Amino acid sequence: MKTYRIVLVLILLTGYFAAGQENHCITCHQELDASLALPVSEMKDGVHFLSGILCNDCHGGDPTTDDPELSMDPAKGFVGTPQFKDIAILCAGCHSDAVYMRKFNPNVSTEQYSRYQTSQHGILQAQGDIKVATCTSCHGVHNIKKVSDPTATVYPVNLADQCGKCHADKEYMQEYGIDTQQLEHYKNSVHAKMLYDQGDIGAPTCNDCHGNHGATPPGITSIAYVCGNCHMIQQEYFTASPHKTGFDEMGFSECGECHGNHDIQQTNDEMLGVDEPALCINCHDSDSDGYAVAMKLRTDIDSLKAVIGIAEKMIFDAQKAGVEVVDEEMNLAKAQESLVHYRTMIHTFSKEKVNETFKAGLESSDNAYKIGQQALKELSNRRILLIIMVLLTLLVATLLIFYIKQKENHIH
Amino acid sequence: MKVEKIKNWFNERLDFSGIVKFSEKKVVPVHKHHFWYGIGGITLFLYVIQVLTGILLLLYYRPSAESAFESVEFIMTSVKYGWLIRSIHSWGANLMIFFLFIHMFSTFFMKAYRKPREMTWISGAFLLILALAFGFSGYLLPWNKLAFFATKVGTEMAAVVPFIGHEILIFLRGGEEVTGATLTRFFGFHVALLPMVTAIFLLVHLLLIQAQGMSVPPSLTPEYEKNPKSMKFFPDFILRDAVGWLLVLGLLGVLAAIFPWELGEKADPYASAPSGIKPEWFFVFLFQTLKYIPGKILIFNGESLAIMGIAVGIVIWIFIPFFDKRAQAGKPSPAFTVIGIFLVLYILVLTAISYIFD
Repeated sequence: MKTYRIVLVLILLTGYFAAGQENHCITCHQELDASLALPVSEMKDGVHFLSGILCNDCHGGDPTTDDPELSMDPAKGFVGTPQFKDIAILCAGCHSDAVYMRKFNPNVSTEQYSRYQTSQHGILQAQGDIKVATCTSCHGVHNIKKVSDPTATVYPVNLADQCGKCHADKEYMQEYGIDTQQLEHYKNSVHAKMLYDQGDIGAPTCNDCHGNHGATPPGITSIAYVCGNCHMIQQEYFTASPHKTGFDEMGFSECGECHGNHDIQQTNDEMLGVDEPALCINCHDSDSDGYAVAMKLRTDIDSLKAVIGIAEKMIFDAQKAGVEVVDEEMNLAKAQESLVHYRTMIHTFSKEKVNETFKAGLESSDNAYKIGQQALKELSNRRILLIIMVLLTLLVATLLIFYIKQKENHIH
Repeated sequence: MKVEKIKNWFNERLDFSGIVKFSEKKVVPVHKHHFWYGIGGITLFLYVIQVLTGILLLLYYRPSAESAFESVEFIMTSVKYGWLIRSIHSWGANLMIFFLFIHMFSTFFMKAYRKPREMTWISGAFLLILALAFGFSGYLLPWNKLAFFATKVGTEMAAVVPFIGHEILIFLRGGEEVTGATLTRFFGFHVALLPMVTAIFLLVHLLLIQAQGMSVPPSLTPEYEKNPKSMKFFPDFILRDAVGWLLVLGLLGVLAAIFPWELGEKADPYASAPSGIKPEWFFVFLFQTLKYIPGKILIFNGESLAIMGIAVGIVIWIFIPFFDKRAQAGKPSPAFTVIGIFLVLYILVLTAISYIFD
């Protein structure tokens, strides 16, 4: 990849010089002191330079002359460093132009600016707030990379830290009255573990729930839809459940009410039921229907787990003792699948709806149990056979030894 | 008497009197090491078990990459006592090779290879090589992961033989890689070629033993000549042998029932090799030897040189009766005893190192 870039840069530079169109912004600035030369060194890795977008495309001016007066003449459109309020409009000049952008990527989105205008960042920026994020705040300035480039500031594994540069800064965020622990909470979440520890770049980070260019906190009644982008079945069950209406009426944050938001943890069965630390009892009293449903759901899960556990142990014991078992994997997998399905079905919060899954789980576990039982019976039969064989062998050998002893006088 | 009638009927047509007379006269020397005479019988008994269980396995085994594993799985799970037959076949193979080694070294230390039994020793040495070939070819037949990769490594060793190594590899594998073609030819070797050749060598070996009788070790010969003690081969020696066979049969039953031979996972040529691949235990000392050989010895490939060295060693071992001049003259030959002890220790130590430290 690196070699490819170097070659591309060389080709581009050679092209300009060979065509007699020497870019004097580059030739001059790379000779200047560090801060003025930095844009040149940074841009050479950037997607714009590699696509042939050069200094004057954003800053204006005339790159064909080496006379600073002429090249940076405002009459030639030189704008120098764009003002904060103009940055998004400047980027939108190209990025919102579907015809222009198509030549780089026929599928590229050109809605970034219009989305930005609807975002919390864009709204505040339009009100004159110069601390909110604009394009360069997240993407960088001269060293902007493709989103798919792992070194890009907005690549999934880098994005949360990029958002955190502002959102985790207490002092910076003070005037907005927003909590600044989101990054810390997120990094402790199951989503972050998948992203950072397991390297699953499909795992959600900030923009997957808040949007990117249109970043805004999801409304309380739309949280299930946001989570539902990945957890579709849970969302479907939840939306059709009595909890949806109840939560909306009480201003509860749907999924977030039980699972949290930034600090979402791996779910476990203890969250369900009527004993501590179950969450159901936070709202449901012991004489309520909800309490009874919570108790049934948890009891069903515990029963399934117990039967699967027993079947697994029996099969494991038989296999450990050398009995080959067939079809056990299929039945155990089916039972496990039913358990997983049941855990998803609990989002219906309906005793009736989970029953079918529970029965299917019990049936598969029962089949696995029977296989385990059969395997253990086989093991026991083998042991009996072994004892009989060994006893018979020893008996015949002993008789032979006696016979030989009796005949010993034949040795001469 | 009916039995007498049947006996006479056969006798009139085949005349067994010579064999009967021979068996009545045949005796086995009795001395403090005569116990070792029974080991060969145990080995033969195990070979018979291998043939019988092998025939039973053949009823269900299907020799192709697509169905070999499944057919062995079927034998182990669905065929009545299939698990027992397969386990006995697998354990029996290992026990047979174990007893073959004991038989070979006991014969070696008793210098039973000396004149006139050179041919018996040589035929026995070939029988050991054939047994190892049985083990190597049979190991692949269940077509499981471990066997697949062990065969891959094993056949690769053949490739380092100078000049013709690659041709040997192609011949063994039926191509460049271990595939279904390898399985089919290994099956052919295992159930047709090797049994046929073994039958010939075994017949020669047994006829020579019967014709020449058991050898008394040179160290015991003077004492034995002063006070010769013997027992009748039939039935006294055979009865003692039968006790050994029964005990080995019991041991086989115990091993098969308590430690049934695992089937493992089906071979997947595209999967990465599992860690710690080892050949079967009887090849481990050779495998371990190759590990210690440097890649280059002077201008030669170290592995090729080592394989050639091992081959030369095996040839010398086969023809050792002709090197041990003192034993040929009926005198004790301690130098060869030391060589034998060194070899036994070498095999034991290297095998132990491989299993303990690798």
